[in-house]
Amino acid sequence: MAHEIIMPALGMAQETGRLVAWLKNEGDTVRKGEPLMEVETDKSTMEVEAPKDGFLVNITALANTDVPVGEVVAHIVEHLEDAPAKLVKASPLALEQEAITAQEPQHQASNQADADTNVRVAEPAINPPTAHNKAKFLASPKLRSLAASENLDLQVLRNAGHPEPFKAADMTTLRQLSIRPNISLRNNATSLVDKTSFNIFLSEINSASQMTVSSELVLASFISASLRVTTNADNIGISYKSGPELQSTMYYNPDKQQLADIAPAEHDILAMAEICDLTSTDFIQLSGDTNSNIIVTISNFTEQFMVTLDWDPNALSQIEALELLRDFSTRIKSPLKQLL
Amino acid sequence: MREITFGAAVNEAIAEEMRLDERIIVLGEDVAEAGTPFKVLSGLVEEFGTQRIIDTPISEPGFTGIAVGAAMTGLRPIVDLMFGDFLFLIMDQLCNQAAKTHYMSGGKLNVPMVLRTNMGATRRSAAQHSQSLHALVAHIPGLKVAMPSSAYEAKGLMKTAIRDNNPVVIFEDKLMYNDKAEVPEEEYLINFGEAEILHTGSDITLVATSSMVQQAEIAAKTLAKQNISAEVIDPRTISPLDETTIINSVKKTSHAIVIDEGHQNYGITAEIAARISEKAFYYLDAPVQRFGAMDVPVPFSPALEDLTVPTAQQIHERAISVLEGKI
Amino acid sequence: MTDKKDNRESYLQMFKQMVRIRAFEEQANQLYLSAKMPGLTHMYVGQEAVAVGICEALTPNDKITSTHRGHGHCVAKGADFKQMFCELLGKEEGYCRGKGGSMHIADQANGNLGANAIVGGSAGIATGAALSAKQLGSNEVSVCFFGDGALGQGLLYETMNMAALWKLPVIYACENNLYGEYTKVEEMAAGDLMARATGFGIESFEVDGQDVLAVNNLTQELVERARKGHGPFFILLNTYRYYGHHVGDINREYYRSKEEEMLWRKERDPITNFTQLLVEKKISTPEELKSIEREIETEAEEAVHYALDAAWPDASEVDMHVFASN
Repeated sequence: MAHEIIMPALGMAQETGRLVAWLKNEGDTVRKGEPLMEVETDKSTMEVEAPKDGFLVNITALANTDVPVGEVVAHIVEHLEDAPAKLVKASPLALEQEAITAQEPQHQASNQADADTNVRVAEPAINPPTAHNKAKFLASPKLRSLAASENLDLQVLRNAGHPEPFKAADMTTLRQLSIRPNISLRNNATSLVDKTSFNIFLSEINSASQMTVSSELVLASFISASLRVTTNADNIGISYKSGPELQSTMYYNPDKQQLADIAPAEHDILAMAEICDLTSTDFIQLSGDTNSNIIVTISNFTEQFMVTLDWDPNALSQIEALELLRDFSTRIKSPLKQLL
Repeated sequence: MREITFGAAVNEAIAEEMRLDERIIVLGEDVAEAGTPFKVLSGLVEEFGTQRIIDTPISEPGFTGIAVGAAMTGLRPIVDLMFGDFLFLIMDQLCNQAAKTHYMSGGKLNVPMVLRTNMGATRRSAAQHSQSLHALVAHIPGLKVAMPSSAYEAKGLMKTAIRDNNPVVIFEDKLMYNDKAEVPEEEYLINFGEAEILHTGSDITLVATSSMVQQAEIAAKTLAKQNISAEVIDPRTISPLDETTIINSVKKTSHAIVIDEGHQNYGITAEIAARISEKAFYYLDAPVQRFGAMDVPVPFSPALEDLTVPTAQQIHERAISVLEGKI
Repeated sequence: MTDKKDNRESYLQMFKQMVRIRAFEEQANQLYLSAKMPGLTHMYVGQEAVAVGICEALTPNDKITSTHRGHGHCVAKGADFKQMFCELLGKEEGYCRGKGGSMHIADQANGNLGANAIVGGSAGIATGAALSAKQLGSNEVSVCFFGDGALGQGLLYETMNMAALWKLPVIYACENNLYGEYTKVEEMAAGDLMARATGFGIESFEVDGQDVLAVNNLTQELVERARKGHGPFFILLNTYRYYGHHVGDINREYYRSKEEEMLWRKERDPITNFTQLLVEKKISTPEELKSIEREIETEAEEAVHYALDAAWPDASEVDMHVFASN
């Protein structure tokens, strides 16, 4: 799945932007947030950052050229073999890079495991944060203090082409620009899942083991497994809200543990997904103020589970999201198969 | 409350203190019968006699040096330096001798003297009779500097100065001697190192000295009509300086202009602005402004002289520029 | 004329004081040459009779101001060796807690308002002290010591003018050691030296600065008159410094001949000549005088060692005494 990198619109009346320089090369590993290229607006020079982890491919715009706003200039892919070379006009640069890439054996891996290995091996080649990466803003000390106290990033103002120096009065704009995307900009999908087999499974496990295995642990384990399959992530943190008060518990790689052994995470970890388990309540739907990219809501719907997946399209593509939902639903429907 | 002139307030302060303490004498040119050209000391020689109100020859270093020696040996002299510009003549006696004696003697010798002089341009007195040189004095460790901005401060600060066991230089704006203000009949002193907030405000801080306080007040009133609330602060003494009041104010308003009649370069405005930048940095929403007199010798021509000194209107304009982010 | 017996005490006192000055200065010079003294200092050796002759006519409450060449005046006005050496070395026990040093040494308890690094800089202070004396009716006099070099400073004339106008009890004592720093006095002071004071109507006197008795007798007379309000007065004392302008001024033949120096040392030495007089007048014997000298030299040596071992002022003192408390 290739993610498009476009020439951003930075000023009000801008038709084109000048691509000043590429900061990464064709085929380089990039991390989310890493600067990819420098573009010049009519006011200043700014860096465009990678929106996700992956490999930078299909660079089609050259340095020191004017590019129409909105035009695709490159892609980021998870696996190098996914580079959609056919979709974009090939620049001499891209073709050259592709030729080199094709020759390297590590890029010809075909199964997941090797791909995973590649991803892991590629990790060390990251640019350490250097001084120039911390873009210098012209801002009054007061504005800086206010922004820092609310944990807001001045880059947001710069990205929006807001004129510098920034002053205290710009806090309003900064706050507005920093608000996470509305849920309405997110996507969601809902499915109904038969829980008969699930309930049987649960009662059998509980009579077999000495410990009590709650449905929470099983569902946490299943969602973790599904995430792993869908996104190939290594370390999966799950924030699980359950109970009548929707109390939150953190689980870390629950699918890698024996069901009976699953315990809440000891340290604070970054949750990859949030599970909102409404089954102890009378609610079937709940959406709200949350930072999570992936939210799975489970509620009771007559004899079934209603499972809603809510996701940030920047975090998951639709294909991935549907795969995740499908996989999770399958596990619930046929729990025994998972143990094999 | 009664209102008296600035000059009368100074006169009262000196007379009252001289009645309380026999050791106080006044030395200077034309201080006795003439009561000084500004008539501020009129009447003193009649009350205290020529032994204590002493007319000197035109020998500024001489009589300043004599005052230093007298102060070291039991008297409490007030030296009258007719024009602040003459400070340059007496710098050795003031800065090498008076300022340093207590320190150089390891605390064993004191110099309890007051140097009374003036400042302020726009009197058409030209370059050598119009300077405001208080920054030069404030720069020297061992000297205290007071700058009364009205008759009320003039009396209170003069009394404190006379009672202080250290050399104190008081700069009076020579154009203010006839300005009236409310001055209590009862005795009062104004402590050194205590600024006065004339006007509280929340949008911008105006720190002003001497006659600039009035100008800042007028500017503040104009700003108020535009719904801008300015806080006007009069430090009253620049050495010691009440930093705390100024800093707390700027922390509140995030904007500051410092107005003083000394030259802008290397002067009071620079010092106070630097301290604000040091101690209120993270609260500033605009650069701190210095607003001093132009860095030119004071011109004689009326068409030119008034251009060199900050006015209320200019202060007002500067404040607007600061708040609108134009600076 | 007073009885020789009474004079014996005061004569011996004058002898001791001159020897004390010389012993102190020789030690100070050694401190400098052996690189143990911070900064520079200015030797008074050769001029002892001036300081002693004058100060012996004063009480501890009478005030003096001194010059950069001030150790002589300081000792003559009753200062203690240990505290003086401590001050020269910048130690805490010094007269000024180490904060003044050689050029600003002051002994407030003995009426020494301080040496001054500005040539002629203390003329105002001495005159002001006289103003205080007159104003407070204390009967005190003050003596302003200065050198021939200070005759170039305007302040001196301003203050003499005012002292004359107000009849202040101050004695201006000009120690003419023939050189202002490295320049002969004739090249620095035009016209008549005494006329400078007589021009103001100030009674002026000239005296051989190497003759301690002559200096002392004249001063006693003038001090008495000054106390009665007949001042001010001006004394021109002709004298000579054996060493250079300051301790580092060692190769000085370019401005002063060795012959001239030898002449003054041999024939005009105040201590040698006074010794002779004391012996001739049978006031003392060479042995007694020698023994006094040795005693004083020992005292000086011990004081130096004391000062070298003495404590430095604590760092916290650096910003103390900028202002007096109220």
